Amino acid sequence: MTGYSKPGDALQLRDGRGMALARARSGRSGRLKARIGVGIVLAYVVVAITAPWLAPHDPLKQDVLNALQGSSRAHLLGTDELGRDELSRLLYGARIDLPVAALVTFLPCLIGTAIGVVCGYVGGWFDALIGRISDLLQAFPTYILMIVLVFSLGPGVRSLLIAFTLVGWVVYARLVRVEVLRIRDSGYVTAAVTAGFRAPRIIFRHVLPNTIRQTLLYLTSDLVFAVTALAAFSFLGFGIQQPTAEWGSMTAAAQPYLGVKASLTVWPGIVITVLAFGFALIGDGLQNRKGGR
Amino acid sequence: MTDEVTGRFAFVARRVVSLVPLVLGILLLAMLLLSLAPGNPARNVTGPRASQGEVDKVAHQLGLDQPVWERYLHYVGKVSTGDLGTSLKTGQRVSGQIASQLPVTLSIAVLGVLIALVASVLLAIAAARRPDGIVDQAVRLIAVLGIGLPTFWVAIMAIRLIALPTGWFPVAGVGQGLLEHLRSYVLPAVVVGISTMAPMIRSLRATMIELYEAEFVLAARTLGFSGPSLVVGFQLRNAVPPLITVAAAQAGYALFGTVVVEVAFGLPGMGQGLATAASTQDFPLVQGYVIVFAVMIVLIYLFTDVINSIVDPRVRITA
Amino acid sequence: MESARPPAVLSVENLVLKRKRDGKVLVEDLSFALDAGHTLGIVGESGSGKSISLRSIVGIQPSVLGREGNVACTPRTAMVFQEPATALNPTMRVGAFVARTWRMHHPRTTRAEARAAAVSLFDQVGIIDPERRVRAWPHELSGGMKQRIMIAAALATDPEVLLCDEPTTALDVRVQAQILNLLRRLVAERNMAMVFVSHDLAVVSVVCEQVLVMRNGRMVESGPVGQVLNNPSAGYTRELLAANLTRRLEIREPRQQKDGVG
Repeated sequence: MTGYSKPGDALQLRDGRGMALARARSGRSGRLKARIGVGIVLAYVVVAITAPWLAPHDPLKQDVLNALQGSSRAHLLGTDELGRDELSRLLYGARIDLPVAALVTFLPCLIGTAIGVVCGYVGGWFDALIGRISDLLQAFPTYILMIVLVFSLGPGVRSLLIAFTLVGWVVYARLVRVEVLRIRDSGYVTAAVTAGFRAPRIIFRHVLPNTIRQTLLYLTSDLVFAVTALAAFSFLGFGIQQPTAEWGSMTAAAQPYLGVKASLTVWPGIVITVLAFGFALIGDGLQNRKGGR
Repeated sequence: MTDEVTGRFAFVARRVVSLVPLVLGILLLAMLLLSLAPGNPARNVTGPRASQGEVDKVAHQLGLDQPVWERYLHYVGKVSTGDLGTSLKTGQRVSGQIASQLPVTLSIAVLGVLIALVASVLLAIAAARRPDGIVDQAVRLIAVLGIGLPTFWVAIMAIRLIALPTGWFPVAGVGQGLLEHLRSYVLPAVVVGISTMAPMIRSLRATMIELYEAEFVLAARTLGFSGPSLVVGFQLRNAVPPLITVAAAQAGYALFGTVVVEVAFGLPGMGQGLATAASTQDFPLVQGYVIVFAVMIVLIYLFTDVINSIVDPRVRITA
Repeated sequence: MESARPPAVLSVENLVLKRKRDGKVLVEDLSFALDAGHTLGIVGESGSGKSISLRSIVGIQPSVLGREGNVACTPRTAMVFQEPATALNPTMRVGAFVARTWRMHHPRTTRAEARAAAVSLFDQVGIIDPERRVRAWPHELSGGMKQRIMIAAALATDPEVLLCDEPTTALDVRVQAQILNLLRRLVAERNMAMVFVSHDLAVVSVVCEQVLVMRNGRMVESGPVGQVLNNPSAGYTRELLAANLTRRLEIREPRQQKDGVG
């Protein structure tokens, strides 16, 4: 695309390559992005599943005499502050962070979608009530809410789950509800009902497919958030705690030793970023399909 | 002219009124915090080995023996006079402790958001000049990466790569005097800025590119506007309202980032305070923090509404 | 319709507009030239390519289109757009807009001079109480007013050529007449060349001396406006005329009025 035109440019205007090419390119690069993203996530999944075989050592086995060692044949990434093998802990971390992030993202999605369907379908007082609740929830500063919940419910996956779910369902409910209402007011439902179809079938056949694209987009960005937020909460001391091998708490535990063995704090962060990046790429790739930017 | 001014006051007043229910809701939630925890709240505070008498005493102290609405009314009354209770651990007034930490957190958060805004504007303009050019692709990559970068990691990297080697920035605590204070805030603020700017960059870049083909921008181009006068006067001005909306949405995230950054850098701010209070189960203190944080965010919403009404002449006070 | 001995201020030769993606041709082999003080109308239905042809003269055709051919145009060219609501910057006061435009084309002038020039231009385009109007925001003004301001901004560049892309289509009939009269007067006063694009033959007949009829991206007929309207050679032109007949009578009336308030 050309730069900006100057006064008097009327005589010498050049056509840039511009938007047309850009749009064509972004369609192709969108698919590529999504593929790379999926590849990254799959790699993590594989690592999470095969960690017990992949990891050279037991991630929980301490050996305080050998703490904070540099890399060696036995310990490729060295040992942490309690003598545990860093590489093994990183690998095992995938068994925590990945599934929990997924759980914490999919549960609100499922619950939100279910609520949305019921709201749109049944309407009435239920819809109104849910509407008010969701307005209140949305107006409330989400992070504060989450911190409060995670704090009062105590450490562990359960409180994280409750916190994320309580906050995250709204988006999906709204999305699905709109679609249900739209379908309800169109000819589909009456036609289908007269043809003898029952409600669940209508829902699954017509409503949900239309919402899949948007739901996926929300899911990917929620996943990105979940991965980083989970680690952040653990870093702060809420959520998942030591001695479990989890990337956030590993970073927190290693921070006092920054001067001695900084790499202990570096690896978990890189690993988190790459995973989040993978999810983000998928989301971007999905968007580009429709000629976004 | 004075019409505008009185109109704006009315606008602000109306917005404030509409936010009151939210604040009341926040107070309710903070109060119920205690009861959310599993088990007997009073026992949670005293610990499992306390005697029944001690538990009862604490229960009375915390007002747990009163019906909910009475507790609530008392609570609202107390809070509106500025009394946020006393810390269980130190016995000090909660409001006092929070007040001393507030400036730290506020400085870092505000500075961080400003840095994010400035960086976003510069990067977005550079990227939008040639969509799909090298600069654009680089900026888009930065933005996508930025979304996935955990704030605490950036903070630690900053400590490791900048603070420790150069010794320019103190790594823990806040010095005396204005200059020392600033030095302690710069690095944390930059970290907050980096983690908040990613969505802003994307949104602003997209808006700017869209605007380049907007009718009034085309009109301006035919009239001879180009370069800075076009970008600033025509594109940026109209890209600001959506940016403000994004920035407001990011406010909560920015505050959270500040919490993380304070813990990482060991700064005596509200974030650090909250984390410590939480780990020691100091309920009244945590309640106090929750209220102050939440009210801060509500004020930010209000602030952005006002800014929007100033910046976008179409958002008239009639709204 | 060809240019006389002095060089034309605007000359278009074999203009071709092609869609870059698939090479589809939207405008083919369009040629015309214009002298100072002369007016040309381009008529056609929507989709005939008249609007994008005009925009391509100043290089603002949709970026999915590529332009070929020779376009020679004096740099002092200004354009008036069809929809004044979208053509004005919503976050800039109208006076500031015109003043800035003026100042950009008159270097080494002060802001005060620019503001005075803006007020004067507002007056020239028939806006009453210009000092007060200068501070207005675009969304506070009527369509006719906005269009006058667009014209004022165009005049601020001191143009030799004025390109009008259906400037009255979005306005209601009464205001249309006022704007048309305004344009005619300005063209005469400043000896500008004007290209006026419209789907409405009646409107074009009021303002232009020559007319060019386009259909599907090609020129179908051209000539002095009286001749083309009363004695069209192309069948298509006849059809166009028939469709426009009643409108033509309406427009002819207000021609006698003076510039009104708007």
